[in-house]
Amino acid sequence: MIEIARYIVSGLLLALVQTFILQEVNIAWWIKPMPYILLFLNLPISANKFGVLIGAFFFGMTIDAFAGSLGMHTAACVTLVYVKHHIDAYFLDENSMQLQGLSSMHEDYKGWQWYYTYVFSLTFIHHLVFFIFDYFRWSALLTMVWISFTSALASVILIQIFRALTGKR
Amino acid sequence: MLVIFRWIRNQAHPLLFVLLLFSAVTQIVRYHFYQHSIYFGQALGAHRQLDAWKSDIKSYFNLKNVNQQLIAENTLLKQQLNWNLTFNSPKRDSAYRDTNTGNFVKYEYIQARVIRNSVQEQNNFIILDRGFKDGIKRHMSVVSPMGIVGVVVESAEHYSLVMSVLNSKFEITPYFYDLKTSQGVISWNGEDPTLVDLEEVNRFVKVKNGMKLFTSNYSLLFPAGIPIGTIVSSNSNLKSNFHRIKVKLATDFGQLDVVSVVKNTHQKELDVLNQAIPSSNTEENNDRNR
Repeated sequence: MIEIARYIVSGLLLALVQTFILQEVNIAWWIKPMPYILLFLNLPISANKFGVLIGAFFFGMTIDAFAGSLGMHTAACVTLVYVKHHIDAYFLDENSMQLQGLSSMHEDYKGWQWYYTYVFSLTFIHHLVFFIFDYFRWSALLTMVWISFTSALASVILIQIFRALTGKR
Repeated sequence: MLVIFRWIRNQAHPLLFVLLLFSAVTQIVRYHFYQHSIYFGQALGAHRQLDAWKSDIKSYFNLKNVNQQLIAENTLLKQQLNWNLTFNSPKRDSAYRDTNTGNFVKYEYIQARVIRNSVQEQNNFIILDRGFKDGIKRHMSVVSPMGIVGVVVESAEHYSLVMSVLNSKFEITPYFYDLKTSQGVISWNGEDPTLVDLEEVNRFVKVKNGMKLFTSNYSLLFPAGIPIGTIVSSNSNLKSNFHRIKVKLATDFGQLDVVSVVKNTHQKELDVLNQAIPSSNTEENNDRNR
């Protein structure tokens, strides 16, 4: 119960950071970090997949409501958790993670290369979906991929900063 | 049914994902002006394409109606033109123009449909779905968009009987457009429904294959310049003073559907004049004058 409350609170905080700070700070047109996906990366892989999917939907809607981009964050979040579920099922071994005392992906699990690949891939997918709906035309395909790539890099850096700040293991 | 439920239960996670994603995308295209315009631009394009296909199909089924309208319009135009035209009449030739009447309408056209037609018999008749209630009387000529069809021989209240060109009693004198002369008599020999014989054409008339024949301005029944046919073969021998000519009919009698009955508005005057011809047999005169 406390776990769920903590997720909700941290989700709200991340949403606020996203909408009130990152949304307003214009770094460059091709860097639009969205580190709130840290919330999903921290989710335990044993979590109920339906609950996560619906939760992601409403979390995305919350951010959309704040950011005034109805539907885009929602679509990106829903896609992210759906893809994440399958990636987790394919690449992560729940038993060995439990032995290590881990509930979600961590550097300690298989080394930092694995960790960063995992985090960056999921971030990139999320951002790509977001920017596909943002640009919404095929002629901007290269722009979409480029901006997703750079923004995902920025997001990963911010995610690491947040993790360092919260001292979360 | 059970299979479907089981499938839904097994695929619940992807289905839920698709549902949520769809809902998100719906929001995007609904609430964002840019995405909205792009999406609905595309959707409208597809919709218009569908509409175009639909209207194509509909117009195909509407062709009959459209035809009717075109026929009505054609009839009207013919009457306004005061100029007896079908689509293969020679154009802009004053030889056929009735110079005396000017704008006065000499011919009126009554549109009719062929409801019975035969080409196989020796004496073929056509029945039209218009009768004297529609103004059709004996001795009115009948033309189709392709060419001449025949002459009304009897009219009932709602129907009329037409003696087809493909009738051994039908005769007409053609006008040679290339020679600017009217000669001979066209009649059907009862064999091929696409060919008629042209006889009594002087041996010294230079007849060539491919010459086009039209109704002449000597005809009291047919307006001048209605196509009759094309010469396909001609031969002459020294024993005879006349050519033996085969003419391919302009009208395809197998395809006959909509025809115009030509009403000469001066028919009464012509009848009176015809009566005055000092001849023992006016009926024969009538026939000759076709």
